[in-house]
Amino acid sequence: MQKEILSYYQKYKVYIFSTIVAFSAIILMVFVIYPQTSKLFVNQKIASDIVKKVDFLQSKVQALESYDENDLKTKVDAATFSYPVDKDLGVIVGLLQEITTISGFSITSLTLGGGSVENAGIKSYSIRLEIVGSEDFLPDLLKNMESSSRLLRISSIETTISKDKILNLSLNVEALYSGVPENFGSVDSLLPEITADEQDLLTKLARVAPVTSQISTSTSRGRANPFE
Amino acid sequence: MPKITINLLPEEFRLEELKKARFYRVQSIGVGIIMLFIFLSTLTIALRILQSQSIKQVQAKLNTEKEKITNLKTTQGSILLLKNRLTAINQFLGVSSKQVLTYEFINRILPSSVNISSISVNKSGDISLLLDSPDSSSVDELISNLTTGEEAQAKIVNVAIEGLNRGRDGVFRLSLKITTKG
Repeated sequence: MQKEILSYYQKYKVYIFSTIVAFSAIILMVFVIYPQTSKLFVNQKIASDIVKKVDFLQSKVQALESYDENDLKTKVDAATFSYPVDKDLGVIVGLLQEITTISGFSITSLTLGGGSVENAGIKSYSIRLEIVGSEDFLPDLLKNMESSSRLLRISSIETTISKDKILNLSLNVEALYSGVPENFGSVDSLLPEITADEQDLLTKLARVAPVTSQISTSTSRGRANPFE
Repeated sequence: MPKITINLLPEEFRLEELKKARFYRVQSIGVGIIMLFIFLSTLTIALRILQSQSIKQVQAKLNTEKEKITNLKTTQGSILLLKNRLTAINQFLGVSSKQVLTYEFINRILPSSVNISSISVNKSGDISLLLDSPDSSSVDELISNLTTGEEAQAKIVNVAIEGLNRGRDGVFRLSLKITTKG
C-alpha cells in the first residue's frame, strides 16, 4: 500500500505539489490577506474620522479656553437681565418706576399680572400701569419702554387727556422671559458663534444692566447660575 | 573549429533527469509563491497591528479632548445660554410693538387743530378714538388721512365713525373705531 502511494506520488508529484501550493495560496488569500486588507481600509476610514473629530474638539477646546470666565459671566448676567430665565417682578417694578420718572411721568398704580402667557417659546407676564403725565412726553415714554435693556412690549394703550393736557394713561406692558434652554449641547456639538452685531448688543446691554443689578440679585426668583 | 558533443547517456536516464529538472522548477516556483503569500500575510498583519496602535493613540487623544470639554461644560453652557438670549433680544430690542407704531401713526396724521380726548389701542392693535375739532375741515382732513395714502392703506383695514356731533360751542366731537391689519 505504502509502495503504491509512493509510486503514485512519484508519478504525479508535479501536479500534487502544484495543487498544494495553489491550495495554500488560496487559504492565505481568503483567510488572511483579504480580511486583513479590507479591515485595513475600513480602519483607515475610522482612523481618519477620529482624527477629524480630534481636530474639531481641539479647536472647540481652544475656542472655549479663549473665553474669559469673568467677562462671560458679566455678559450672561447682562443678557439674562435683559431677557431673564424666570419672572423678575422686583426688577420690573424698579425699572418701570425708573423709566416713567425719566420720561416725565409718575405711576399712580401698578398691577402685576399673576399668570404668564407662552407664545412660540417666549413667555411673558403682564403689568398694568396707571400713569399721569404730560401728553407731550408720551412718545418718549413709549420709546423708552420698548428700547429698555429689559425686554418689554406694550400690549395696549388707553389714554384720556384733560383740557389742561394732563394725560391719564393705562398701559399694559408685557415683560418677556424664557426658561433656561433644555439642551446645553453635547461634547460633539458645535459651539455657537457670537457675531459682531451680538457683541455690540452685549456691550450696549452691559452698560445698562449694572444699574439695576442690585435689585436683580435681591429679588429675582431665578437661579443665579442655571448650570449649578 | 566547431565543437562536437555526443550524448552517451541512456534515453531513460535522460528522461528521468528532465523530469527531475521540471519538478525542481515547479517546486522552486511553488515555494516562491508560498513565500510571497506568507510575506503578504505578514505585511498586512503587521500593518493592522501598527494601525490598531495608531487608532488607540488617536482614541486616547480624543478622550483627552472630550475630558477637557467636559471640564469646560459650564463655559459651553454659558455661551449657549448667551446665544439663546441674544437671539431673542436681537429680535425684540428696539423694535416697536404694533400698538406703539399704531399710536405713533395716529399722532403723525392728526391735524394740529384736532384734540384727542381719549385714545385706546387694544391688544390686536385696533384703535378707539375720541376727538374734538373746532371745524369740519379738520375732521375731513383726518378722515382723508386715515383712508388715503400709502401708509394708511398699509396699516388700516376699516375706519368706522361711531359718532359725530356738533355741540352748542360749535366744536365737533367725533368717535372713531379703526381696525388695523394683521
